[in-house]
Order: sequence, then structure tokens, then C-alpha cells
Amino acid sequence: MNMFKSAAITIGAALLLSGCVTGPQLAPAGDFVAGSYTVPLKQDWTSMDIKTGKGKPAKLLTMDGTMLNAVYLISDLEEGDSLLKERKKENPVPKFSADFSDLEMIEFLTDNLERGQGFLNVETTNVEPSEFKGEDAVQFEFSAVNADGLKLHGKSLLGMKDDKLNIILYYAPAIYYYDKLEADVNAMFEAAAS
Amino acid sequence: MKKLRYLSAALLALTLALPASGNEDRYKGMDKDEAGLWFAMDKAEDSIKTSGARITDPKLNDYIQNLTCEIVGEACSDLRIYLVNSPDFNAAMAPNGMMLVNSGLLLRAENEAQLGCVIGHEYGHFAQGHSLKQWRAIKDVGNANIFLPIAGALIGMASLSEFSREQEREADQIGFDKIAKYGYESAECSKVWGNLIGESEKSVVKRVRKRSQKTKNGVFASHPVPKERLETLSVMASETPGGDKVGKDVYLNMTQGFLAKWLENELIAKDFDRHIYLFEELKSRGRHAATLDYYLGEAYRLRRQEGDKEKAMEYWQMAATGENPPVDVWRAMAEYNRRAKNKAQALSDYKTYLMKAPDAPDRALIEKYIDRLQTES
Repeated sequence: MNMFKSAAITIGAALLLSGCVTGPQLAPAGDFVAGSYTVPLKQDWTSMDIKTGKGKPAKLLTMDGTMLNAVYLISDLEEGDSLLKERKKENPVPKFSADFSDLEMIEFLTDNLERGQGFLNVETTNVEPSEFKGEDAVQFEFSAVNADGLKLHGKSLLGMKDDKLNIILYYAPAIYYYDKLEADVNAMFEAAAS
Repeated sequence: MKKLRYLSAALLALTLALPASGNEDRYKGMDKDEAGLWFAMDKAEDSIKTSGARITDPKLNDYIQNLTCEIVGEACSDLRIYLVNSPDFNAAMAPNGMMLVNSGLLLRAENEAQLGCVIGHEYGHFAQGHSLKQWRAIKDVGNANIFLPIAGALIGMASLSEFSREQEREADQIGFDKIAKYGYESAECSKVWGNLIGESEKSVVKRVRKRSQKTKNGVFASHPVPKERLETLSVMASETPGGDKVGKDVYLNMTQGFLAKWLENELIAKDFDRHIYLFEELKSRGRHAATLDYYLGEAYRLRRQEGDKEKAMEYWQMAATGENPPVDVWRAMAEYNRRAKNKAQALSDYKTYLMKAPDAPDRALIEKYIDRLQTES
């Protein structure tokens, strides 16, 4: 592997998870349906239809552009599903398994952030028990840097219901942007819990 | 041919942009080819400087810098070394004096002599101006008529380190002479190459497996092919044996603090058979056993083949009884035992984990597990 080539690939990797974007639409304040669950939007967002690795629809919300804030709403991932498209069998992407523990769900997501988004030095913090769709779930925060050295902060709520994985993932640059929308995302977590 | 055209175009674009760089003195006395190459590499270096992939630890950087200076001597002032978090077993040298050293190489080198061989080899390419010669050769057959952004130029630069057989041998000889002069045992050079072949053969990834037969660029370029090169290096070692210094203890101590992170980086590739082979090898080469046993357990857990859970548990148990194991060992064993319904043991392991890691980031979650296990038992 040539090092110059790998540096360039890392720069380009930041767009992978949001593949198959169809185009931005207004998501007005109010209830917003994301597959099998609904979250409240406290203000207007921009919404994009995206697809997971195996073509399942998911939603991506942003306020200032996905480089500055991104909320992924993913529902009902089933056994063997992935967030990233597997282009070569010998280069496997992380796949969901219904027997994941809470910590393995977190590992699944951070693995995707490292491989798909090119995040580096992903460190999880504040790992806490939570609820998602009335079931036991886990939420956590993380810090990371991207290939350009920009510090990022994020949080996620992950839970399984009927062996299907539901995810809310939020991340933004650690300075200014993360705090700007954290309360909005917390409201989404609270609503999704029940 | 397409790649050559892109490379030519990107470098031409950069060359044309040269007067606007504001640092023309740096390129004084160079012809257009060389100045263009340097300019492109200076731009790449700017992005490396701020990259999140850089290992910025001052102690490790000083150590590698000093080691490099000892090996290359006065030329040290022309080199700038960047340590990069990348599991690839490689190093690279740009014609402007930027040297990149991957964590994958730092992990696999057994001692200062082995790392010195690689650094000396890369310096050999730099000293002989191989990149510039390669660029001119490409330009002679290229067609410079397409403009690409910097990212394209970075990819195109891959071609600049696809050196000829003669250039690789020349760089090997320079590397040999440098480390032998400094008193390192030159036989260590062929071991680096032998280790790469052994590991690559275990990979499920065709591209990696082929590394044992052919690689395209960087210090492990395959002109000549690996086994022939291994023999050549052994002959060189007999002709230029150097001293008896290998610098093992100091090297392992200086890099020990990064071992866990580098092993985690390896696992991202999910090439588990290769990881297991590598981790066992590193243990046998004197790397910290308890840390490697923990990550061997992790490799088996993540591989998820028949019997892997039990194999993982065996390694974690070994790690737990070793010297200074990572505290995560107890959490891993607790998770295994909770699933296996060994509630009492799971409870004990979770408690040990929190006792050893009172500020664990997942304390709240683990406390919930403990409460449940206590209620159930």
C-alpha cells in the first residue's frame, strides 16, 4: 500500500456512509418518521434519504451541512445487515448480528465510523444504559478526529427490538457545532426511548 | 497508461502553479521537473502536518528522529519524519525530504536495527534521487493534458515509488552500509523481509497474500521478488556484517505504550487469520505477552467461527494471569461468562474490572449488569 495513496483515500472516505443520497428536502419542525420510529424535530432540518449497505432506507438530517452536523436515523437492521456497502468479500465491512451485546453494538458503530467515515482515534465515553422503543438499550458519546485533524464529538443511542437494530447517531465538530444541536438530539433520544 | 496521464497532468498543473507558491527560493536551482515534484510533495506535507492520522507523541517522535539521525548522519537535517497511525507495514520517502513511517512498521520491527534498515533503505532512494528519475521516466511516456486536484496528485504519487530492481538494490545497499557503519547487526535486515512474507501468506486478502510474491511500492517493493530479495539481503549481510548491536530492549520499551492502540488498528482490517499469526509472532519476538494475549482473544471473538468464543476465553484467561494485563481483560471475561450463564463468575469479573478501572467510561452500564446479576443470584 502506498502511503500517498492511502492519505488520499482517507480524505475521500468521509462521504461513504451517506452513499445513495437522493437529494435534500425540508424536514419541518414536528414529528419526523424514520422507519419504525418517530423523533421530534424542534426546528426545521434538512433531510436526505440514504441507504444502508444492503439497500435499506435510512434518514440523514443536517442543519448546516453534513460536515458540520449529521444525525443518522437507522431502523430495523437485521442479522447480517451492514451500514457500508461491501464491495469485495475479502474486504469485509462490519455486519450486525442479533446476538450482539451492548458493547458489541457500540463496537459495530465505532467500527463503521473508522472504516466508513475515516474517523481516527475514536474514544467512547459516558456509556450508559438506556431505552429504545421500550427495550433495554445503550447510549454513549465519542470523540474522534477526521483525516484533516478536525476534532469531532458525537453521541449515539443503540437498541434492539425483535432482534432488529435501531440507531440514532449524531456527530459534529467538537467546537461550537456539537453543543449547538445536542439538546435537539437529546429530545430525539428521549422520544425514541418509549 | 491512464494513471500515467493523470500523474503527468497533476504534476504539470502543480508545476504551472509554482510561481504562486510564495516560496520560490526553496526551488531555486532546480529544473522544472524537480521543482514541480517538490512543490507537489510540499503540498502533500502540509496536509500530513495537520492530519489526524499523525502520531504526535513528542517522546516517540524524538526517539525515531534521533535514531534516523544516527543512521543517516549529516543528511538528517534534510529529512522530516512523520509517524502515521496506519496498520500498513510500510514507510515511504518523498523527494522533498518528507519521510512517512507507519505505525504498522513500528509495530512489526523487532528492534532498532530492523527499523534502521528500513529507514536507511528509504534514505537510499532519497539520496540517489530515485523519485525524480522515476518521474522523468513516467513523463517520457505520459500525456500531460488533464488537470486534477491535489488529491489526484497524491494518488498519482504512488507511481513515483515503484522503483526499478536496480534502484531497490541500490537503496538496500545504502541502508545496509548505513546501519553497519553505526554498529547494528545487518543480518536483521533480511528478517524484516522474512517476517513480511510469513505474515502475508496468512492473509485471506488476495492483495495482501500477493505481497509475499510481489508488491508495487514503498520499502517493500518487489523488484526483485521477495524470496530473491531475501537471499540478496542475506548475501549482503555476510559481506557487510556490521556490529553486534540490535537495540531490542530500548526499542520495545519506547514503543510499548502504543502497542494496544496499534493492535486495535490492525483488527479494523478484519483479516483475522493474519492478525492471529501476527500477534502470536509478536509475542514470540518479545512484545508484551499479556497485551497480546488479550488482543489474540479479541481476534478470535471477532472472527466468530466455530469454537472461537472458547479460544478467545483461553487467551483472556492467559492474559489475566500475566504481567500487567489490560483491564479490559476482565470485562471481556465477564461478558463471556454472562452469556454462558456463569453468573457468579461474570459478577466477579465485572467487579474486578471496575475495581481495576474505577473511572471506566462504561461504569454506569457495568453497574447495571452487576445489579441485575446480584438480583438474579
